[in-house]
Amino acid sequence: MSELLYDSLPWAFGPFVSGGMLLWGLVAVVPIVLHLLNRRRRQTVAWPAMQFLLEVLQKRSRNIQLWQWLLLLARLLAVLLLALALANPVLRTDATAVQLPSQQHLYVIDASYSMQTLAGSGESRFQAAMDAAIADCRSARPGDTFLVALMQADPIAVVSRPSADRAAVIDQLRALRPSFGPASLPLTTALVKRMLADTKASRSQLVFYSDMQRSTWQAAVTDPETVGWSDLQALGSELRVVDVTADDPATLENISLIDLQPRARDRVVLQVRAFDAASTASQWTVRVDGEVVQSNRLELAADGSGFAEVFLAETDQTSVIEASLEEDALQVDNSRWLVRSSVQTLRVLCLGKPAATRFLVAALRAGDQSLWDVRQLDPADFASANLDTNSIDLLMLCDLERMEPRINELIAATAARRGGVVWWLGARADPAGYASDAIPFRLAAVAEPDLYGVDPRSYEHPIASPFAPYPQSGLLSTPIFRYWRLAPLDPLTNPEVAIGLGADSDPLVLAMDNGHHRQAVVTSLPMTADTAVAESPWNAMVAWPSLVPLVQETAAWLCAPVMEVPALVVGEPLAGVAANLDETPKQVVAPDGKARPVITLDREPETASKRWMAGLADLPGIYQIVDSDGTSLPLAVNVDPLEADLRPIAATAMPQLVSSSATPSVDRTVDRQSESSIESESGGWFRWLIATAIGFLIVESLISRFALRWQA
Amino acid sequence: MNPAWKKFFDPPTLAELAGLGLRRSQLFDGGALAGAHRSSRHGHSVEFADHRPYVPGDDLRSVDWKIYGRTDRYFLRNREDETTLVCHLLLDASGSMAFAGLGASSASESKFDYAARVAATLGFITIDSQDQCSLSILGGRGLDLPVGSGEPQLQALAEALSRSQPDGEARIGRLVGEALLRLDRRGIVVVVSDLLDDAETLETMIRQVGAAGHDLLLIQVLHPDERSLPLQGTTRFEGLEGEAAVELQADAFAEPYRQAVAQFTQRIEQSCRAHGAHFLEMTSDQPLGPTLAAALHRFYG
Repeated sequence: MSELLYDSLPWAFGPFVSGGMLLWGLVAVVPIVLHLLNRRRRQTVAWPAMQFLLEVLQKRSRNIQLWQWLLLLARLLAVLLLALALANPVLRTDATAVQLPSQQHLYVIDASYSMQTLAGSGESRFQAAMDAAIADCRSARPGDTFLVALMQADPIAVVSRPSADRAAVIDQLRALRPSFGPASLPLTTALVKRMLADTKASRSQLVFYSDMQRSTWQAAVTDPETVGWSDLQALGSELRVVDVTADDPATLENISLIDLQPRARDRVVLQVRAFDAASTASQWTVRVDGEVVQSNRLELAADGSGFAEVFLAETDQTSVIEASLEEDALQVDNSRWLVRSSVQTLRVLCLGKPAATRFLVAALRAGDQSLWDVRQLDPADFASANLDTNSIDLLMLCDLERMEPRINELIAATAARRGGVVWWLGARADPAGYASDAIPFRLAAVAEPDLYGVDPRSYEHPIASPFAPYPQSGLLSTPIFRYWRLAPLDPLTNPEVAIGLGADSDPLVLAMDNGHHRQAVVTSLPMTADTAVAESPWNAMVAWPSLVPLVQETAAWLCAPVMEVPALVVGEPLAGVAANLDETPKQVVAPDGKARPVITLDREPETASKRWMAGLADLPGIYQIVDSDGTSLPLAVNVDPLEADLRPIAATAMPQLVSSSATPSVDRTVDRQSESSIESESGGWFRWLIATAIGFLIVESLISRFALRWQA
Repeated sequence: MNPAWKKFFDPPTLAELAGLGLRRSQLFDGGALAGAHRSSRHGHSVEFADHRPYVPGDDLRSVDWKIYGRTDRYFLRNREDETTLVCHLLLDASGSMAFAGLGASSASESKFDYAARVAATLGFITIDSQDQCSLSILGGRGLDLPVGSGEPQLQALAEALSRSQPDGEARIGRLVGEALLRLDRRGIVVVVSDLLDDAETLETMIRQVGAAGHDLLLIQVLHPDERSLPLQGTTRFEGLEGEAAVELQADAFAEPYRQAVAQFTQRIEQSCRAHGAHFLEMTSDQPLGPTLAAALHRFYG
C-alpha cells in the first residue's frame, strides 16, 4: 500500500522535497467555510434604535471590515504556510538547476575497520566519509532521490529504495557505524548493480566514499572484470570515488598486531607489523584473564616486522590471553585474543623403524615426562596394531620409504583434529611414494654432497627462535652434507623455512601452517647414502646435540593448535556442533555484553549431533558460549590483519578517483563552517515557515480578541 | 372600576406623587379661569404686583389714592391674578415605541405602554391640581384629547390612552412640530418619547416649543436593551421605522453603541438646559412613582 502511495503521489516536485504535503493547503478552505457558516448562523432582531447603530457603523465600518479581512487573511496565510512548511521546500537561486530532471544518488560508504583510522584532526575516516556523503546529500537538487549502501565483508543496503526524504536519509547516514571486518569490493559491486537495476532510474550518480585501501581496491584496477567494477562503469551512471583520506595522508602510519599464536603450553608469540617505515618500535602488553603478565617494547626489523615470545605460567584452567599494542591511529588492530585450553597430555605416534624412531622418542621424553605420551610403531605392525587414529596429537613419520594409504588416512585424521605431522625424511624416501594428496610437499632430488651451513633465518620462526640466545647450542654446527630438495610448494599451505640450508636457504626444517593445523618436514640426510651399517644414524641431525631441543621445539610448535581453542575472525559465524541437543549452548554473550540467542539445526537427522548457530561474530574480543548448565566457554574473535595495511592504491590508477577536498560540496573546512547555512536550505526554510505560520496564528488571535473590539 | 383607569392610574404611584405638580417657570396668561398658578395678568388677588400710571379707561377701583394724596397724580395699584395651568401631553406613538425588549413576549410591557403610564400619571397630577390637560397621540393610532379638567377628563384620558397604539414610521421631531400648531393655549408641553430622531431635529423641536410660549418637559423613555445592546455574534438588525437593515458583530459594537446613546442623550439634555426645558431620562424598567417624584422635585421644587 505504501509503495502504491509512493509511486502514485508526486511527493517531490519543484522546489518541494515533500510536495505532496502541499495538499494540506486545502485546509485553508476551512476558515473560509467557517467564515461563511458564521455568516449563515446570524440572528435577526427588530431594533428601534437603528440610528445609533448606523452612527457607529458609519464611524467604524471601514476599519472593522479591514480588520475582518486581515483576520481572514491571517487565518489563510497560517494554514498555507503550515502546508508549505510540511512540503519542506528547498529554494535556491540556481533556477536552472531546479528545472533539471531529478537524479538518483547512490552513496556507498566503506565500512571496513580501516575506516576507523583517526586523522590528525581526531576525526575517523568513517566520520569523514559520512560527512562527505551528508554534504553531497544536502547539496543535491530538490526532488532527487537517494540510496545508501555499506561496503563491508557482507555489504548491506541501508536505504534500499529511492527516498526523497533528505532528512531521513541524512539520519540514516548519521546512524551508520563502521564494521570490524574488511570490505568486499566484488560483493559490494554486485549489491550496487542489484540496487540500481531495481530502481531503473534514468539518471543516477554512484559515489563511493572510501580510504582507497589497497587491499580492498587493488582488484578494481588489476582485475576490474572479476570484481564487477567494469559493469558499474558500463551502467552509464556517473561514477565517482571519493578518497576521504586525501586531506590527511599522515594517517597511513599503522602498527598492527597481526598474530597471537601459542607456541607451546607455556608460551605465546605475538607478531607485529608496521605498515610504515617510520615506525621502529612499539610497546606491547600481554594480559592473562585480565591481569597484566608482561609488557615490553618491541624493536621492529627494517621491513617493519617483529615478534615477541612471551612465557606464561601454566595453568590447569582455560585462560584468556590478550595482547595489545600502544595506541595509534587505528586502534582496532592493536589487540588480539587467544583462548588457551587447560593442560593435557599430548599423544605422539612415532611411525618408522625402531632404529629410526628411537632417537626421536628419546628426544621427546627428555625433560618433561608428563607432557608427551609417546608410542613407537613399526609400519609393518600397522595393520595389527590396536591404534585409535582419531586420538593422535602429533604424528612423527620417520624415514619412511613411501606413504601408504593407511598412513595417508592417519595423516588426514591427525590434521582433522588440528594435530601436527612432521616428516623426518631419510635416505630411504622414494619421491614417488610421497605423491599423495595428503602430503603437502613433493620430493625433488637429493642435493649434491657438500657441507651446507645451517641458516637460522634470523631465528624468526618459532621453531628456531629458542636457539637465538644460544648460538653455541649445536644447531649452527650441525654437519649437513646431504638433504632432500623439495619441489615448489602449494602456497595454500603457507610454507615457511624455519631453518635453512646453504646459500640458497633451502629448507632444513620447513614449517607449514594453514591456520587450522601445522605440518613440518625435516629434509636432512645422513652423511653418506650407505645405510647398510647397523645402528648408523639415518639422519645427520639425530646424532647431533641440537636434536633434543629441535625435536621439542618442533613438536611444541606443531601441537600448539591442539592446545588452542580455535579463534574466529570477525565476520565468521558463531557456530558449532554439539553431541546432542542437551549440550547445545543456551546463548552466546558478545564482548559488548549483549546475549545472542542460539539456533539449533538438525545437522544429521540420523545422529543425535546438533549444529548450532548464533549469528556472525561482528565484534572482536571474547565471546562467552554459555551452556545450559550455566558454565561458559570463552571464544576469541580477532580482526582480519590484512585490513590493517592502510596503504592506498595509486591515485592515478583509478580515473574515477577524486579527492574529498577536490569536491566543493565535501570540503572539510567549508563543510564545517557552512553546516548551518546548508541546514538552512531545508530545515531553515521549514523553521522559518513554521515560525511565520505561528506568528500569523498569534496575529489572528490578537485581531479577533482585541483589534476588532478596539476598532468597534 | 374601569380597566383603563386601573391600568393607567396606579394608586401607590399616585400616592408617591401626592402634592407634586407641574409648574411653569415664568408667569403666564392661563386664561380667565382662576387657578392656583400666578397669572401674568393683573387680577384681583391680594398679592400686590406693581404700580403703573393711570390711562383713560382704567378701572378707577384700582387707583391708589394714597399716592394720589402724596403726589397728586393717578397711579393704579396692580394686583396679581391667579390662573390655571394647561399641560399638553404629547405621547410618541411611532413604530419604535412598540419595542418591548429582545426576548419580548405578548405580556411584556412596551415602551409605549410605559410612556402612556407616564403621560397618564402626569395628567392625573395636573388635573388633581385643578389644572387642565390635553393629550396628543403623535403617530400611530389613537385619538387626541382636547384641553379639559376634572374627573371626566381623567376618564377620557385613560380611555384615549388605552385605545391608542404605536405604529408608523413618522419621526418625533416632525410630529411635535405639527402638534404645536394645534395647541391654542400656552402651557407646559410634556413630550413622552424615545426621541429616536436626529439630534438636530430634536434641538429644533425644543426651540420651537419655547418659541411657541410653552414650557417643555421632555421625557425620554427607552427600553434597557436599547441602552445596553445585550447581543452576541453576528446579528441582523431590522429597524421598526423603515430604516435599512444592518448586519454586524453585536458584541463588538456594544460598547460604542452605548457611548453613542449616552452622547445623544447628553446632547439633548444640554439643549434642553440651554432653552429652559427640563429633560428626564427614563428606562421602561424603572418604577414610575419614585422616578417621577424625584424628577418633579428636582424640576419644580
